[in-house]
Amino acid sequence: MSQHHPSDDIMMEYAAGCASTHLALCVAVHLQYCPRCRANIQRLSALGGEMLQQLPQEDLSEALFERIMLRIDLEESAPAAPQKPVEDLLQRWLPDGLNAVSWRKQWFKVYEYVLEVSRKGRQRLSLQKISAGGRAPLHAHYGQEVTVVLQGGFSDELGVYEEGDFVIRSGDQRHRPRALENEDCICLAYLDAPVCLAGPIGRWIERFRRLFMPDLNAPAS
Amino acid sequence: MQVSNNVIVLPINRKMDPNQQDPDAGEDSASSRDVLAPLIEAVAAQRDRDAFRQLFQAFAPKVKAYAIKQGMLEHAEELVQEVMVNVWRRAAQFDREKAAASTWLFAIARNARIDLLRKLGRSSQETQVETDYLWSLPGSDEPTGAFQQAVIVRNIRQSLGDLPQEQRDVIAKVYLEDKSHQRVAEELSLPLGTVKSRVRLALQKLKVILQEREKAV
Repeated sequence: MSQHHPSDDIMMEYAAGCASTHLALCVAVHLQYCPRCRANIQRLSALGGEMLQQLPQEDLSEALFERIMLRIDLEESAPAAPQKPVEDLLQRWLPDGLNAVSWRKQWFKVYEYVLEVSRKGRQRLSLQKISAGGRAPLHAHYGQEVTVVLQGGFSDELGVYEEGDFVIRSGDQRHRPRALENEDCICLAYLDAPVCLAGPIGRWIERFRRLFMPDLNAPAS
Repeated sequence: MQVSNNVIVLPINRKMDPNQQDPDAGEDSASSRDVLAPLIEAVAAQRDRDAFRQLFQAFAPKVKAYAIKQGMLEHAEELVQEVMVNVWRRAAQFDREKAAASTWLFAIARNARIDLLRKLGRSSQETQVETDYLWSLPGSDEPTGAFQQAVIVRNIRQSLGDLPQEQRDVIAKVYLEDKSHQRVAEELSLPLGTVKSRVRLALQKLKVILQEREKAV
């Protein structure tokens, strides 16, 4: 069972359905590993159920029920294929599993596979791999980084993380993740703003990036 | 044989039936809530249109109120329609051993709302993954029993009434007005930390977050 969980406020935002779709995806992946959080989400949903039941009744238009039945009749006459249950939330991108990913090298022993990028390139959902024993460069973030460990594990200045763990790093936390020695570490990562390299070489790279990609530097809206 | 059978079977049956367990069944909204589960089950088993109409009468007016709270006034009845069609479609997935009817119906309404907002292009961040995958309906785990589900809901219902207004307000904004804690803080001109601690206090009183946290040694 995983040891690092989403905070209570993220859990509540997820249960209420007001988390962004990408954050929701990260929480949902964590839930696949974590029965404790699944039980908590169930209770948080029960709270939502109660809040909804306590709302006043609003008047409905006369014909609404008939309109609904009409739609149902239409559907019943042409039944759709039953929805198949998802075994893995990332199946859409990884039909052949984690071993068949075509990784793009980013740094020594650090690889990325991009799943989704927002239009301006600001938000980014990706898989990140650090080969066994490898280290990512020291970096901070312009925004928030959400990571869920899918395979293996990593450590940084703030802790050790294993399969299923849900980790959030905010902009001001500089860290240098390192994969555990015996296994490649693969994570689902969601960045709501680009990373910012730190350290002597990193600062030089950042200086060039600011020159050529000034758009990435504004604080997240 | 028969007698001893009855003695054993009866209390278990009663235990499994949340309808007979509710101490505050006198409260009108509570008693109307207890009929929800059998109605959903009748829709699932017999495609019972009378049961569906009763479900509609009990639940649809609240879904409309939910839509209005969410700021979807002009799409309120569209949401009601989506929710009720989904209740019909997915009634067979309801299992009172795994979730209370009000919990399951909330999840249907929540997902339909997210879906409709995505369809209307109002979501800020998009992903290709379907809403029902991102927010699965309650009940994928082992059944905990209808009795326990009823107890969870009853505890929440009773303690909600005792919450200080300021804690209740924050919860209502998150659940009913689609506002993150950050936005609630901005709206109430409060520090984010204050909003979060109100929520934490409320969740403790409601016994919503299980306390035991497995810590790494």
